[in-house]
Amino acid sequence: MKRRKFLKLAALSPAALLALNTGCSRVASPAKRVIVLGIDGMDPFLLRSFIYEGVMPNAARMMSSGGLNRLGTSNPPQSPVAWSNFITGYGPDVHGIFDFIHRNPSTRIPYLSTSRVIGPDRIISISDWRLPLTGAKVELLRKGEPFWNRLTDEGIPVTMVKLPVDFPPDKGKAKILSGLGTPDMRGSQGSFTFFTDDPRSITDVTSGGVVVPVRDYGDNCYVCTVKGPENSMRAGNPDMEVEAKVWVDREADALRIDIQGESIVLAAGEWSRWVRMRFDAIPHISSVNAIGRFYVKEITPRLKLYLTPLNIDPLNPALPISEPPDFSSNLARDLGPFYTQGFPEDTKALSRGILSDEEYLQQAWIVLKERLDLFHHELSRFREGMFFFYFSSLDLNIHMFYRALDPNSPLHASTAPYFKGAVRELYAQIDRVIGDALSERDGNTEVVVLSDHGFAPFNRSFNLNTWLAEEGYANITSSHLRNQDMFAAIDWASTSAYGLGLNCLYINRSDREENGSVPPEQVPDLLLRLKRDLEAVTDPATGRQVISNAYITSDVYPGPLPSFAPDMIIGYARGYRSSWETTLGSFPEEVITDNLDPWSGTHCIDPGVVPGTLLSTVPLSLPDPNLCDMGRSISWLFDVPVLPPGGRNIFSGNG
Amino acid sequence: MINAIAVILNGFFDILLLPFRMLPPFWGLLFISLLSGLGMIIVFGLVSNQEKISRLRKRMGGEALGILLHVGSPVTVVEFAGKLIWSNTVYLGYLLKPLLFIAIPFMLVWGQLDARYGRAGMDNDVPVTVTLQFESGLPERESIEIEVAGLEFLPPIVMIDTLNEASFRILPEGDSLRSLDISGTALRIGRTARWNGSRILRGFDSGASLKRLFSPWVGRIDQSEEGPGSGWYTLPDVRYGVLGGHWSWIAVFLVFSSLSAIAGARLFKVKI
Repeated sequence: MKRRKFLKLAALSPAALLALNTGCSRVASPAKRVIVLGIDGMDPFLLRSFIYEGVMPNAARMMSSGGLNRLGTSNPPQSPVAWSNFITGYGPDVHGIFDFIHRNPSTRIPYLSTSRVIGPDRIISISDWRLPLTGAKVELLRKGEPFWNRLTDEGIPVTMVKLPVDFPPDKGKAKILSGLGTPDMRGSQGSFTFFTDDPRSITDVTSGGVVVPVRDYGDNCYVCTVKGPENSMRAGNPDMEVEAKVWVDREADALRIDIQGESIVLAAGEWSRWVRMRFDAIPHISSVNAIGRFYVKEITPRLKLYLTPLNIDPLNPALPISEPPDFSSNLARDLGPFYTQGFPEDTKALSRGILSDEEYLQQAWIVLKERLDLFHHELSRFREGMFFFYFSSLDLNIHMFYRALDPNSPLHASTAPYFKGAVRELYAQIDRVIGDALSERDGNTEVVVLSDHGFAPFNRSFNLNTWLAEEGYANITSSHLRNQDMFAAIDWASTSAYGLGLNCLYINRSDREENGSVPPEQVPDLLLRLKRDLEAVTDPATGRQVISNAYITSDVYPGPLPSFAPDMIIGYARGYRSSWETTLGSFPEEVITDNLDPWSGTHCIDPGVVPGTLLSTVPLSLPDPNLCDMGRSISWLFDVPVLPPGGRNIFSGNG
Repeated sequence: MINAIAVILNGFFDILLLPFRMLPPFWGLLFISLLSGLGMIIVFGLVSNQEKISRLRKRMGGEALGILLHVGSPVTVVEFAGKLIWSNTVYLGYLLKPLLFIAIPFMLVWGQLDARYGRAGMDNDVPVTVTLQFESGLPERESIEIEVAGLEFLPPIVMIDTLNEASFRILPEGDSLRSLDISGTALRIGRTARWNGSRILRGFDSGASLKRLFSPWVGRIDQSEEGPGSGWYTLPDVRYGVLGGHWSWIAVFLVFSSLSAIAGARLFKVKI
């Protein structure tokens, strides 16, 4: 095989070189090291203002050498889509990621767009037990070739830490630790547990987590059951469980958690260190490890004990989170356990009022400190090649605290001014990271800092499905079901369009959807009508346009599109975004409402409003850099003979 | 006397595991497991009546064959099945004597392995919870005096009346000798595991009982009047990566000692 492959490569290489070498001149002395910092959500306008405030001296240094550039983002400008553009050099028509969630075209059932778990092919059933003969698999749904394959093929070392949209990590020669898109142990994007005996906190339904009622029977002891992943080795896949006994000492305002032979003492207001939990599928033989951190919110008068989503243990990962597989365990051995889930900051717990602003921010700093430890650890070992490191902190924290920056936010008055300072401090911390990267410059090292998108306020929620119903594009049959998810209220036979996900609109096509009502020949006209009507929507409260651009997907991406692609991408105007209810197919009463969720910043709007940021020590020669260009441009710095095909070379200027 | 035996036993296992100090802990555990399996089969061969077992096994084979040959005659099948059940009972009787011989050494080995391979040692800068058990009710919170060396005491103290227990955290620091004194009772503190396979203390009590031989992870203390009678440190348990699973030391020991015993039986021609 190797001989045949060699001969094939030998025959193809000159032709490939001729075909793909676009005539660009090579750099005189090849850069042996390139540090790429991926700062999710670093906004060029905020960055510029912080630079002028003197908060970001290192970014200012980079601005003076390579300029502060707006980096064209993806359409829609969602992180999974944008980072996939970065990785492959192409848009969603090639990499197949259009939104955080996609839907089955026939059944309209939504699923996570980036990865899926495939169960074992063969199972032996013995009584209640199900013993798999083959392993379960996790599949990365992002398509397209990562740009760094061209580097590793040339023997250039590549390390990518917390790489987004790469769970499970690409198998290849690069060292990768998965980032955004990595689930928690329960398979969600983060599901907290909150134990309490406060009846006011107990609700049946809490998205993003579960509230577990517990009770003290007079012995100062609460029995708390932590639900882990499903046990696929038992019939019916019951949840695996671990029991924790929580002993409270109200006089000391402290408690002791006894869990699996371990005792943890915590005072009120304290976070525990990482607690390892073992969920037994078959006792003594097969188990999966998870890690979580407790936070004691309150002991007196009521117990309020928060547990983070159960993260995959990097020391013994139950799912593949790194390539090579021992990369994560080596990091955990050197640094201790760390957050492995893609969204480490628990934004849902803040939105649901489980954590306060201050408590959420404490967690955010814990996450950032861990991330900085990882960064410095890997930076100190970086000798050659490309080193990419991803920071999520700006993105998630500005989502939650944009209300502190924006006086027009409905929550601005009730948000302490302190949190505006926290945003500034987060940017300052990122600037110190930039400074650490710049200090590695030695004539053969370049530094590139980029973000996938910027930010805008999210003050008003647009209920797309409600609007479709009011305009006659969707038909609601049972009004009492309109607030239920998954289109419980809809009559499909008389519905021509529906919204699902943050920016996606779908036509209810008769040749694609089950009970679809729109014949294929009517689709183009319907799309044009929808575009016209959507772009004409104004907010009755302000008189402002709500949607800047309603993009017909086939106009933006003219190539063949996968069947799960949306028919239209909604580009909301600054200040507006689809409501949370729209994303899962429900129909609230009003079309436009104030956004009263702490999630007050957004980028899931028109891509022209939220460009990303590019700072580089290499001067740019094209005026309009785009995320798709970055892989090809970074590869050019290494002088590889065949550049990745996607994007343009923004450093050389001639493609 | 018991303490002296405990010291000798601990020293014996320390010497036995000497060659494995620098290797990952799994290899020492594997070695002891294989050695135990072999040891048990040799003792079994010496102590059991091999001739009787051999005869019984042949008879049981004949009885099983009788069932297979007479499947058409239910009465004969029931007769042979009854004989086979009786033979099995006799076989269990033959096992009794060797099992009695093996029981004590087996329990001693079990305790030593649990003490050496069951838990991870203390790590610097990772807090460890100490739980004190008071025999005659909890003292006043203010009366508990804690003195430390080589580690930091982290308040608060959680008092649990129901269990007569008080818990607090310590933070191991540096590599100096660590000590903890609770109201005049000096406790031995487990160090960071000095080498792979070394004994890791995870508890203490003031009694001098036979139990100490079978639970070598418990250190002995001289209890003061106000001090605790016993207690334990919280240390994380250890799992071993075997065949893609996370095995407890018990699973490793049982599987590999059994394999070694089966191999030993063939090697030394021991009838089991």
